[in-house]
Order: sequence, then structure tokens, then C-alpha cells
Amino acid sequence: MSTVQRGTRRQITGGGGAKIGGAPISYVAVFTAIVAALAFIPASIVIGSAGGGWPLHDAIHPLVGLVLGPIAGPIASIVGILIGNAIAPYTSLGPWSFVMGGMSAFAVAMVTQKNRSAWLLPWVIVAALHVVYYFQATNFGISPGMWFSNAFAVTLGLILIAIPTVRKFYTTHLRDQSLGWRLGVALYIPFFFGSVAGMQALWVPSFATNPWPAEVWPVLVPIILLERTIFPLIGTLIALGVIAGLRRSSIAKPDMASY
Amino acid sequence: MSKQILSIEDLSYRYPKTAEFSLHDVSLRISEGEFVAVMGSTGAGKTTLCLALNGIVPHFYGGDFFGSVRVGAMDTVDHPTHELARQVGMVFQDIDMQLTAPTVASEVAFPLENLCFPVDEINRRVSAALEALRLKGLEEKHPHQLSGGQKQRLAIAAALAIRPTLLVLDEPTSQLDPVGAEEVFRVTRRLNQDHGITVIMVSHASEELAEYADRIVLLSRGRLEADKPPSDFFQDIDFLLEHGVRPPAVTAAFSCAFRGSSFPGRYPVTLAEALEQRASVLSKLEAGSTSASIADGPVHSDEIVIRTRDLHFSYEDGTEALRGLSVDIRRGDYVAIVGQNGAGKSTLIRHFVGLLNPSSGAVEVFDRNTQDYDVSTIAQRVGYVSQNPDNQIFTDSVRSEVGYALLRLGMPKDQVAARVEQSLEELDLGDVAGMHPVTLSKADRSRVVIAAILAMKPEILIFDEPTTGQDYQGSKAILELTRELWRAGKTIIVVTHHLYLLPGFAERLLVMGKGRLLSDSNLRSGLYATATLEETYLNPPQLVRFVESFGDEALEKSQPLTPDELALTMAAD
Repeated sequence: MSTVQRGTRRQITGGGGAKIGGAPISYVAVFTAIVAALAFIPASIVIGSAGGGWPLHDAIHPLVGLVLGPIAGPIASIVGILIGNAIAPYTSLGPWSFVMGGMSAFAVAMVTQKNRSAWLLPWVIVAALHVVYYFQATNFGISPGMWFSNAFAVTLGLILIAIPTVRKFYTTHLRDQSLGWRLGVALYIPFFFGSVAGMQALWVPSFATNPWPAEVWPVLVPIILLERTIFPLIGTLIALGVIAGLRRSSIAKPDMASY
Repeated sequence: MSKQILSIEDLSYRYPKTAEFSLHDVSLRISEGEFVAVMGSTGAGKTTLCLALNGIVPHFYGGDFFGSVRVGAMDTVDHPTHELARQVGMVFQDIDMQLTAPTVASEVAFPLENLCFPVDEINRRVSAALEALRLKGLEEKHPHQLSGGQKQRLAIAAALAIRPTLLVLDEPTSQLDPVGAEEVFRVTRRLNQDHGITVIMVSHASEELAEYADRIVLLSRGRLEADKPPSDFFQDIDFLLEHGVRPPAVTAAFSCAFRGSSFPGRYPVTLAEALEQRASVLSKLEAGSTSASIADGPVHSDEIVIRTRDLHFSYEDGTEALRGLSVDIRRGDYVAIVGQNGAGKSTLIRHFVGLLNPSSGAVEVFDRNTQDYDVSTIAQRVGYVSQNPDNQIFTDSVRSEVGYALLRLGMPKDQVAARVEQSLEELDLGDVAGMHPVTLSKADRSRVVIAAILAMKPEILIFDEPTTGQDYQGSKAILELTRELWRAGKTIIVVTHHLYLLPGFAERLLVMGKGRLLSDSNLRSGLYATATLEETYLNPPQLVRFVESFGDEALEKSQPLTPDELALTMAAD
């Protein structure tokens, strides 16, 4: 059978379908809808709130960033959270909640980009917010030790991503199209960072506008650690299935996707 | 001369991550007001061709694109899909996948809203589209409350509301019962003839296309192999069969009967044309005998493996799906269950595998009441392939899907691997074993589910609409597999709308209507009981209608079911 085609090869510029940051708008809409729908499910508790719950969509913002990239990912997460806050107010994390999902998706998308320096941008932002949060807390009367206990997960995330061998490990396994437990570990590391990045981004404006009292801090220590461990794990398990499906399908991959 | 509205020049297309081209150097021109059918076997490139018409290929998928597709003045590569959507209305095969809105009216309004039409204009167009598709009065219904035919008409209404110059329908009738399919063909023809809308329809329904289409295009392995009016297209039977296309039954019968002898003119392609050939048929009948011998299947035992007694079942919303049904299925039976949508066929067979429990009455499988079994125990002896394959797909590769249940049953891995390979081979799925099932066509997903069930080696196999969405070769392959299993001693139960496929396979026909058993007979008598079939809105096969309309007592007495049998009846010494 002849492999020479009679027609002229056409350049597909991507202008044919509407895109946001290299991701088809239909993909962005789907992920936005998923984030919004997951707002209905409370996955954890919010200490000090009047019976509110922590939304399950917190687990999938890293996946949103991984699939849609650093522009469309945060947009899908932010819009999804805003819709989710409206349709399921009982899991709303307040007026700054959109920052959490947006930063989480952005951080994961950036630390998994092919560009080897891309990781630095979210890392610097999170590190800066980490420092700001330290001063916010200590100025509010929280001891440095208590701050560190609360923010330990963020510190750990920053350290992990700063290690070149760790970055090389997960980027290699994300790129080699492998599936299975190695991909799971390779996903968990950036997802963990994305999760704590989102958390840190939420803390700063939330604490600035509505600081939580000193009595709450000790209770939060195990909860924060547990949540930041479990949520990326849930996200990783979902991502393994989603990525397996996407890799085996013939649908177009968003330009800045990292899977 | 009519204005040309579609021009395809040397179109070749390859999906990303694939080695083979799905379309090779396809060139096609279509003028305003034409009704063009596209036929071909699974994998011929029919759906890809449809997707290329509104830019989904290549804009959504990417890949390698050669040549050009022009709709009116718009080149599909240079124009975005949302602009092309104003010119090309698309209706897809899987009805449930394309209906997204909570009401009929909002479903039709949805594409107009996306294209930013003013509200008044949207209201006008929704009303006009619903009127044209005879869906007035159903505006506030949820789309899933509609019948199959109504759902597909709703999808056409949504496409029609944007007033496209080209309406593309990709196998719109493959999942509908005969009445629903006829609704869709009738309404499409009316849109074409009365409203001048140009139609491109992918379908395997040879009899209907012979009647309705102006031209039929044959695709085979991505290449355009024929482009002719139906009266020419269906003449070369061998060529069609070679490319996986089933000719109309009357054409095949005349071709068989007059093989080796001269036939005056062309073979008829519609029932009306066939009846006009009365003189030719009578001359053949005079020369032949009317006692065609038709081979029967193997003898089966008298052991009853499934028994229902006065079975009643009502759904929670009060719908009475089964009304006092009593039936015995014996070991070694090959039973076809037919009836309109909503006749209760699927409800009945779900009782056989314990997925539903009777509201009253009893169902016994292997002499035990199904309520005494758990579903997983029944599943080891009774394999059930549901109508929607997606309900039975759980894993992320075809191979793991086929072995999934066996591993859950604790079978050693090497045995599982052997059974999986055997099943993959039997269903010709070896090439896609590593793929994600969801990325396959619906026809292939159905075969994955069948492979998974076969790997379990159950004693009874129940297939709910196994040929839906399959091309002729695919349908035949599945039915031949069922016949082999039957000959190997399995009990086979097949639910289907495709009556023309049953001869040569099923030996017994259960006709259901409105939750009742209307008849239980051998296949031949069942298919010739046209009044009973019509009672449950089933169209008898074209050959049966031909014999009945022909009005020859001898021909009616022989009750031929296949073109070969009719030919044998006409030509036997």
C-alpha cells in the first residue's frame, strides 16, 4: 500500500478549536465541571468553622494542572471552585478559596514542565509566601515552633522540589510513558508539592483577613499533615487511571500538558 | 446545475500515535440537496470522514492531515470548528452520549446558545426544529424519558436548529429498533426532499439506503472504492461482500437465483423493484421445486436450564415491564428474543442472571430460584453481555478487562493468561489488546465485553443486542461465534432487533410485546408470523415481505428466510 499521499500536507496550527493556554476549551470546561461537582463532597473538617467541610476537589487540582498546563489548569480550578462555592456553600473555604486550587494546579504544571527552570517560579512564590506567613503568625503571637509544626508540610514540599535528583526522578518517569507504581510515586511528589503550595497560598490572605486564634494551632498540626498526605494520594490514584486512559486514547494532548 | 457545497480533494488523515492512515487520498464532491450514504466495514474510515467535515478532525485530534475539505467556501483546516458548526450539523451514533441538557427544548437550544444567537431567535429556531422533527409537546421532558427514535430525532433537531447547509449523520439508526430507525429515515428524507437539506448518512441499513439515497459511497480501509447510485452500487454482490457490505435481501436473492443464467436488466434493489420482476421469478418457480431443504441445527436435550413462571416485574416508577411471563429454556437451545423497545426483553434476561428479582412469580436457573443465588454465583454459569458495553468495562486495557473476572475468581495467573489470549483471538482483538477499552469504537467495546464473558466459559450465554453498532461482517462474526458456542453445547439467548440476521443462527423465536410473550415458535414460523411481529412494531425481514407480497402459494409454503433459500426455492430441480 502506497505511503505517499497525493494531497498537500497541511499545517495544523491549533487555531481551529478554541483553546486556553494550549488546552482545548472543552477540556477546560470538563475539568471545571469536575472541580465544581466535587465541591458537593466534604472530605475533611474545617477546625473552628460552623460545621463546614473541606471540599474533595482539593485532591484533584494537581491533576488539573498536570493535564491542562500552567495557564488552563489554574483557570479551570479557580472557576470550578467559584462555581463550587456557589452550589455547595457548605464546603466553601471562604473568599480566598480559589487561590488554593489555582496555585495548586499552577505549581504542579510548572514543576513538571519540560523546561528545566520552570519549577523555580512556583517554588520562589511558595517560599516567599512561606516567609510572609511566618511573619504573619509570629506577629500574631504564635511561637516559631508552633508555626513550624503547622507549616512543616510546606517546608517539606519546598525541600523536596529543590532537590535536583528528586525532580529528575519524577520528570523521567512522567516522560517515559510508564504506568504502575513508579508513575504513582513520580506523580505523588509534585502532587504533594502542589497540595502544600495551594495550602500556603490560601493561608496568607486568609490569615491576613481572618487570623485563626492560637488555641486552634495545636489541633491543626496533625490534621494539616494528614490532609496534605492523603489529598495528594487520592489525586495520584485518580491521576493514574486518567493518565492511563489519556495516553491510550487518540484525543489531542493539551500543548502544555505534562503526562 | 446544483451548487456544490462539499468538496474533498485528496484527503488523507492519520490519527496521532498511529502508524496507519485512516483515510487515503479520498476525493468527493457533493451538491446541494443530495442524499449521500457512506457504507463500509468497521475501520473503513467512515466516522473519521464525518469528523473531517466539521473540523473535529484534525483540530480536536491533531495528527497528520493531507489535502483539503471545503464546506461551501470554508476550508476546514483554516476555519475553527465553531465556525464550521454553523454549516455542518452532526448527529452521532451513540444517542446517550450526545444528549446533555435536562429538557428537550434546552437540548435544541444548547448549540444556538453556544453560537451566541439572540434569545428571540433561539426560541424561534427551537420551536421550528421541534416542529420539523415532530417533537412538539415534549419540550419539557427529560431527553432520557424519550424513546430511542425520539432521542435520535431530538439530536437531529439540535443539529437542524443551526440551519446547517450539510447534515451529517453517523450511523443514526444502529441502536434503534426498526420502528425508531424507520422514523429517523423518514424524517431525514423529508428534511432532504422538502427542506432541501443536503444529507450525508453513514449506515449499514442496505434496504433503507437503496430506497432513500441518491448516491452511495463505499469506503474500504480508508480509500474510496465506489461512488454510485444505489441501483448501480448494489449490483456487484461479490464486490460488496468483499468490502463488508450487505446487499439488500432482494438483490442478494435475485443474484443467487439467476447466477449463471441471464437476468433481464439489473437486479432489483428495493422491494418495489423486486415485485416488478414478477415474470422473471415465476419463470424460475415454474422450472424449480418449492420444497427447498433447509438444514437444521444439532439436537438439544430436554433439560430445562431456565424457567420462568407467571413472571411479573414492575420498576419503582410503576412501569409494568413484565406481565405474567412463563417460558422454558432448554439446554442447547438457541433462542432469539425480539420485540419493540420497551417490550421487556432486557428486563426478562436480567432476571435470568439475578440482576432483577421478580415482583411476583418465579425464575429458576438450573432448578434453583434465582433469589437463592447471589449474582456472582450465577455469573459463573450464565454469561451476560449487556446492551451497553460501558456498563461492563472496569479496567484500563483490553487484555486486563478480558481477564478481570477470572482473576477475581482466584484462577491462577497462567490459566487466566491462556484463556485471555484464546478469547482475544476468538474475537479478533489481538491488535488492540494493549489499548484502553474506552478509546475503542462501541462495536469493539462490545467485542471486548463478549471476550471477557467467553473467557469465563459459562454454560449459558445471554447477549443483549450484540449486533448493535456492528457492521455486517462484525455482526456475522459475533453470530457465527454464538453458533459455534451453541454447537459446542452452550445454551444461547440473543436479544436483537435485527431479524434479518437471525436465519442460520437462532432456532427458536420468542416475540415479546408490552411485557407479554406474544409467540414462542421455531424461527421460520416466527418470522413469517408477520401479524405478530407487527403487533410489537417489528418489520419482518425484506425477504419475508417479498414472499408475502408476491402472492405465490408455493413460494409462501416454502417460507424461505435467506437469499440462498429463496434462490434454492426458485431454482431447485
